[in-house]
Amino acid sequence: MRLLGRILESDSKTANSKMPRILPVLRLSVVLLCILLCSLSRNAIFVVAILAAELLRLASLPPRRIAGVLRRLALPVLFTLLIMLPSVFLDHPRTMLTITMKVTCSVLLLLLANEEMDWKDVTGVFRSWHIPGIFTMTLDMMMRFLVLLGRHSHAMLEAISLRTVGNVSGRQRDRARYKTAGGVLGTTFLVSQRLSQQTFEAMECRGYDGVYKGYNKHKAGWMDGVYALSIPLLITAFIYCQSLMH
Amino acid sequence: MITLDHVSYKYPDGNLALDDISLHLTAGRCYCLSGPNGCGKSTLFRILNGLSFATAGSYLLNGEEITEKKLRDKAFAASFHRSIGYIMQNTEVQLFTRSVEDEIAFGLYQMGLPEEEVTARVEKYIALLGLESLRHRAPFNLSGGEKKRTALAAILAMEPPVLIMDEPLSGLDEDGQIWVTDFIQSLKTPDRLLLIATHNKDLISTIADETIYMTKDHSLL
Repeated sequence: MRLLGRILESDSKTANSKMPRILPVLRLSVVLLCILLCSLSRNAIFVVAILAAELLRLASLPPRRIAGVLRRLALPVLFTLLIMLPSVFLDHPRTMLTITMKVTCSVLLLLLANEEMDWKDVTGVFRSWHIPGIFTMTLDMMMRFLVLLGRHSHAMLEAISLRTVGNVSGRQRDRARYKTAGGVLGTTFLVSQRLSQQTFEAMECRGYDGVYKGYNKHKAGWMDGVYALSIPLLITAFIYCQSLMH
Repeated sequence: MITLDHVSYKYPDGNLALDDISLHLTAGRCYCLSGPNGCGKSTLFRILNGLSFATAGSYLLNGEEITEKKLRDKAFAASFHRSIGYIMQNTEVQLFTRSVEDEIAFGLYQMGLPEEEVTARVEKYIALLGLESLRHRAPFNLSGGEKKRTALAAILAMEPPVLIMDEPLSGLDEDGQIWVTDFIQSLKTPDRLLLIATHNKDLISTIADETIYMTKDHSLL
């Protein structure tokens, strides 16, 4: 128990400290390349190899962060399994395995990148790729408002359920439900518009002019050079694995 | 520092929001703006922050007229927004980054400060507002009081000479209200102008050097 306590204590100290040892632009490029190649791959060996490498990388994280990554990974993987389940009954069980493996690999790649990179780093990479600031802002706001609007809709549904106890039954009830759902969606849309307008104004008041400014803290080192080698290696491995199919 | 000369504002649908407002606000003083709901306090703050523009009259900051055309110039807009800090009534919309630390750093990066300065200011204001234990937390998951403190830290870190707050005590419990009142009191310095919209009579009596009343017909009393 004491050992477990010490592990958790050391873990909590590092839980929030992201350690971008690799240049973010390089890390994100490799992640996107891996996802692309995994999606294109018709050979399971390539996907399994990437998955194994990512699992090794995952194992190097502190226990609490591993648990966090696995928790977030579970839902998309289970969802994919569920969606692909009919293929087993249609005599294509391998399709289910292939797709699930590809999804696992892609989501794990993104989750690990998220563990190792700050959002600031990601926006920095977008900047270096000359992606317009409005895209970054839209992405940023969308993710943020998903949470806020989810809360808002939940609160509205709770308020409606409190006001409709013991209400009408049958077809009339169904009609009322559709009307309610429409009302909630409409109000949520209007609220989202108002919130995003106010947030944009708050950003403007703090000097935002359409461009996310920041600094590139990361200086390229020898490790980045080694990591950059993984790009041609990945492409070569991909071509080799595909040639095995013929 | 701030001069409003016969400022009026009409909404696009023709409804009047501000009617012939003239004010002169100077540094080193704390002004409380009070009035019934819908009298135009928030519209006035929007004009002061360059988010809306008067349909009549003029707004001068440090002797320079602030117009829509001038604010289209990025350099001018940057220096204008550096001069005025605005804490909104609903702080939730004001917090948009992934962590409290990033929230404080956002405005500083946008100001183009050197990295060492950004880090130093982030540390300073995290310590000043007691946000050490929250620095890595996502702002939208914080409590109302914590959000208010984060918004204050984010704006104060920019060290603006003019600080505008819209209902700073709204949504706070009694302890939170006492804390914010004391904190605002500590912000009163000879070179800073504070403008606070509030209905809270205790806050007005504690901190206001001057109280400005607005009436239901959108003008000053």
